[in-house]
Amino acid sequence: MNENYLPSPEFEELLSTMCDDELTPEEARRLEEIVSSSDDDCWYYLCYVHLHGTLHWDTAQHFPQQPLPEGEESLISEKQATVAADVPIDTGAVEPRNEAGGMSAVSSGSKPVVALPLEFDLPWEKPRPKVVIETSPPTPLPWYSINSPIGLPLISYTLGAIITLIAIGIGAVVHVTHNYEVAASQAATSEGDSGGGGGGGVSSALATAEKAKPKKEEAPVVGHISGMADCRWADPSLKPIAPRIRQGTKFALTSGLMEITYTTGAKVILQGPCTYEVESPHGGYLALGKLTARVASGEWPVASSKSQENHKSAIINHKSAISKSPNIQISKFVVRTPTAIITDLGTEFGVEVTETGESQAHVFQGQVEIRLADDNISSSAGKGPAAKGRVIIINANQSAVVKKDGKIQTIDITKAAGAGEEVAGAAAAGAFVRQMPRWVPIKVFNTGIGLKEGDEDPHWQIVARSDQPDFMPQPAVVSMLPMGMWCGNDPRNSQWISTGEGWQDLPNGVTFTFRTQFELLDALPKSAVLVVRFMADNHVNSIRLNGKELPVPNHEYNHPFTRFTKLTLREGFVRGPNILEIDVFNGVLEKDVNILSPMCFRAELEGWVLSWEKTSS
Amino acid sequence: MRLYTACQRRLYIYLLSLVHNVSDAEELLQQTSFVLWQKFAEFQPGSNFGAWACRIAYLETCKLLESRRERSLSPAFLERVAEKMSQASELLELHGDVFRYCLERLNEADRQLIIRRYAPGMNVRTLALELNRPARSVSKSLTRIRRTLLECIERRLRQEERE
Repeated sequence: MNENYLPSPEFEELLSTMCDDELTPEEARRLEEIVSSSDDDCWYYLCYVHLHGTLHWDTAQHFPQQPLPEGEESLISEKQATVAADVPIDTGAVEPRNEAGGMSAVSSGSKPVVALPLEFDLPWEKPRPKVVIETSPPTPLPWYSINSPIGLPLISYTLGAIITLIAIGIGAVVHVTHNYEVAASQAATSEGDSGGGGGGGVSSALATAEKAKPKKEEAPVVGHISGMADCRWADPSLKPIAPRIRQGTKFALTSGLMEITYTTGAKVILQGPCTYEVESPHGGYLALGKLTARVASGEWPVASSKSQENHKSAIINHKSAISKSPNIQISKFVVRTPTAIITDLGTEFGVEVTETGESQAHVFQGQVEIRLADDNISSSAGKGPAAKGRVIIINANQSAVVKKDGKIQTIDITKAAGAGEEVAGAAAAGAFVRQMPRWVPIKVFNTGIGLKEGDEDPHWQIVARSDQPDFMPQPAVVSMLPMGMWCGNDPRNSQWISTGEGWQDLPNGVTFTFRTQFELLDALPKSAVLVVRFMADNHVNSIRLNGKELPVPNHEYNHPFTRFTKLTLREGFVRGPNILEIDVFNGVLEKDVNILSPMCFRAELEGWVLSWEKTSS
Repeated sequence: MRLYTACQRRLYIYLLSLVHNVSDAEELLQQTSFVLWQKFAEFQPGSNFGAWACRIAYLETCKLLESRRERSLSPAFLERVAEKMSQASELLELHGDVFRYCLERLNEADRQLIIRRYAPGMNVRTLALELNRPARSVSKSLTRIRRTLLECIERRLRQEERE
């Protein structure tokens, strides 16, 4: 292909539509024309389709399960965009979703994790509702109406005259003051310049004064929303409409998870219900709920000061401070709560503010410093001297609760657990979400996988048969059937299962119910997807997930039973155990029920769900 | 069996390039596998199994499309693409080799989006619903990412050629 070749926009659009499986016959014809028109176009088509096919084949079936080769790092952050040879491909897109990023693949161990995205809920990507102005039939306007041709100028002039008179009156009252003298001189100058009336002079003076006011500057961007999962908002007016987060932005979640990535690299996961304000590039104010903060290095070079107030202003001006001050100090990530100021000295911690106003901090890694908030100290005057200025440092696996009255209680979870004590803090620590959900495979089992013929399948049971009301559930057994009519068993992938080993003569017209179970723990059940590929002798009549009937795709009653039928399940999942039941009908319809024939079932399952880890890694 | 397993991926991509459509390609792959199984005795050991399998896949594709009332693809087009695919099979294999290299170098958001699009059972409309974004916008993002991947593959292959 010519190095300078570029596909036409129309061609690319058609290829895209093709990949979306939405090509109309007309579009297909047009695509054919383009592909047939030149070798370059034809080659581009082949490359495009090859990529599309490779993505389907490799990505869907194999890639997510493969760790990256040794020595190669996953391109998790944008920071690595500097290496020339291994430059991550920056697509140069300006879409906000790129800035928002996917959910961060926070690797819990040394092995990089190839993460799939979380379920996004990015409101700025939503089509905005159109503003509909309801129109009514025109009605005659009174002459004084603001909408009438006479009314608007008349009202404007009247209002203008009143304002001018009031301004002159105010000017007359305060003319003895020095300010008035200044304003009057400005007005006089202005009047002289413009040659206008007195009102104009006052207006000019006011305009001058207006100009002298400091302009309201837009708050700086201090981070962006890097992930959302199932977010619900307490206050619709605080619902984010863009990924960028400016200083002072407040979030109020009733449920769900939201990850903020600060410009400094720190990441905070808000866990609804939660109210949090991003106060600076180095922290925020948690009024209610839970958050987990993970700070890459724990520190950034900024000018800092001891008091919180100075600290905030120093943060705002940190760039200029760095350039001016020869002594660069270190600022740390700080989470303020109504009762405490929690300063990061390490890498990862959780903070919770309860409805009663208590604050709890738990350290997962590193250390944090906990200081009583000023407000709290002043409000607990009785305990003032003891509480004032009290600072404690807690380490990994330690928690501290700051009560409303300023008392601090520390808990060492490891020690308490070792002593067999039940500690409330331990449960609270376990409730922090430490990473945004990522796609993980659902632990499901193909029929007969890894077993020998004749083995009982520990993951599949036969739980009912229609001709025996008292049938007791029993494990399904890996069954061998002659090749040709039945697809050969493949222990590495899946095998036929039935009531027993080998050829089983079973009555026609009877339905056998096969059951398997899988767990969805620490996961969002509504994100789950399960693909079931099945073969059955003779026919799958019904499929149920957690008791709910699902549509069964059309498939053959008759042999050869060599082709899988695919069904994708996207709903009906629940947190905890999920039960999948499949009714296999034996026999061909309208045949003699006295005839005996084999009955067997085979399935390959693959599923994904958004999941997170709650416990320490 | 070993020969078939080795060329399954190639067959699937070949079929997809002929029919454009994933479900058709999957159906044809199953059908082709079945025919290959039946006709394996006709295969001459030592000859190119991949080329033989692709020829059978091509014939199966023609059969399938003929059986349909509405034909979306002309036989001439199919033949041209099939021929070009056979000619370029080795070069396209190289594309497959560097594909993963380029996928890993996408920025995180793009990589995750494209991986999710190609997750089992996923399509653009469903993905758009799940992302709460217009399908058109998702489709555009995917087009951009595919273009980026193709450019990366081309660049990488040229670089390897120079080295």
